[in-house]
Amino acid sequence: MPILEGEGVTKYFGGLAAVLNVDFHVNQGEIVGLIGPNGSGKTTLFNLISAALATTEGVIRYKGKKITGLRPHQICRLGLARTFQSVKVFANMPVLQNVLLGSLFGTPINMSSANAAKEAEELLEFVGLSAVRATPAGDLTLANQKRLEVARALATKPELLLLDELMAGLNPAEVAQAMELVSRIRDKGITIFMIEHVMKAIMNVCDRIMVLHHGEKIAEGTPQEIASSRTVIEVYLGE
Amino acid sequence: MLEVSNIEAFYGKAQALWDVSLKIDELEIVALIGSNGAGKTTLLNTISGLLRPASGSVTFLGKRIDGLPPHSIVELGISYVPEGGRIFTEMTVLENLEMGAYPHHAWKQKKETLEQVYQVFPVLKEREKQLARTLSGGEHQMLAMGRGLMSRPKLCIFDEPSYGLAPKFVEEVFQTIKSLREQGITIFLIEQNVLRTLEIADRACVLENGRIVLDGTSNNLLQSDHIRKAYLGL
Repeated sequence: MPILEGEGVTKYFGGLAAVLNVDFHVNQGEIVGLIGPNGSGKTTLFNLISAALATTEGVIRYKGKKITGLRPHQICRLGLARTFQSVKVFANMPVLQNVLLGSLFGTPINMSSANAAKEAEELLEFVGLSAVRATPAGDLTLANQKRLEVARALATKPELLLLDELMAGLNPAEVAQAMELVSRIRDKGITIFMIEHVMKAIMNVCDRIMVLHHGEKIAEGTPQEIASSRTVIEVYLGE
Repeated sequence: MLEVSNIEAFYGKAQALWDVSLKIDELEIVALIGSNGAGKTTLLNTISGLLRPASGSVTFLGKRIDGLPPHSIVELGISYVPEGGRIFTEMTVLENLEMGAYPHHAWKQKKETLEQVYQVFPVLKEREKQLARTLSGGEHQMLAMGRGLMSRPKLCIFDEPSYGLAPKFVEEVFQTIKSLREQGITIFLIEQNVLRTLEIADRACVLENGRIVLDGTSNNLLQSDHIRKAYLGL
């Protein structure tokens, strides 16, 4: 059974269909990539899944249970966490406290603040931000704020993680590190659905890729199939 | 055209730049390469007047500009397109573009410049009346570049213009930058797409931990083992 699936998912902004009748699924343990031109509806789809926006039509299920209509915090507590394309860290709060917030918020069981702190420290280690743990999050570089969002999302103990352009603004050497981070997250048993424009990363880490264009799904397949698809080359990859 | 000499810059007590010097000649494309956190944006903030250097000088067309307020630096002909665009989200696309035309000489030629910007970025014309916050990530970036051009700059500074753009459009951005030079604009470019950047730049400087550690022609840097390993991932 897919961990996440959507049927006929549609979102209108006024008269504009930002996402139109999209069917999709993500299987447990997979890394699925979501690509498409700028403005094709990728982030909107993530916003619908995480309930940052309300779906106009269609249904989204997480582990077989309908989640359309739930509030964002309820979805997070079910084990579906996300990061943001335009980062949303708590800028004036130290890095460690940002992660701690995730730990204390996400888990239904009562966690002592000592345990939460320990866990937050471990997550900072995991994403490579231990050295800046006391720095206000807003002072980090953009790339590090993105890593911080990953740590904060992981702190809520997700089973499915949505990553929105984790690798934007990284140089090739840094992209390699970020790819390694994604693989390590998967090794923890977490399923990943990721938006990314860095083709080297998408092609190397994803099991399967979906392509959106003008809000509609125009292709889906293995990285090899996508890389050689005429349609995808035309609308997205370029010659 | 632009000369940065022995700049030292701080954020509070933390030193971010040490003895940074570089030169950009008229009609060059010069790239600045460095990891995240190396001090690239700090250097740009210093040139554009957002940050005052503790010591050193910045000279543009023979005039000292360090210590001038940012808007005076724009008037002199330097346009800075910051990382992430920093557009005015509650204004329309057209209003954002007009905001870029505030320098006196640019305001008079506003209509003409607008047409040129629309030629470079046709999607901005389509979205002219939309609020900027309804644009996609890539369109934000185009709007920011377009706004930067509205001041009719002599030197344009781009901080990661390909950030978050689809592969097909990344190439268009590089082509746009090349064509801007042909239109007589000097370019100072920061980019993480190091290979493509070195292909279009004449020269590049490498900034590491707040210091310039390498500079040279792009061809020479492409041969450098350090560049290949640390920045190209080869």
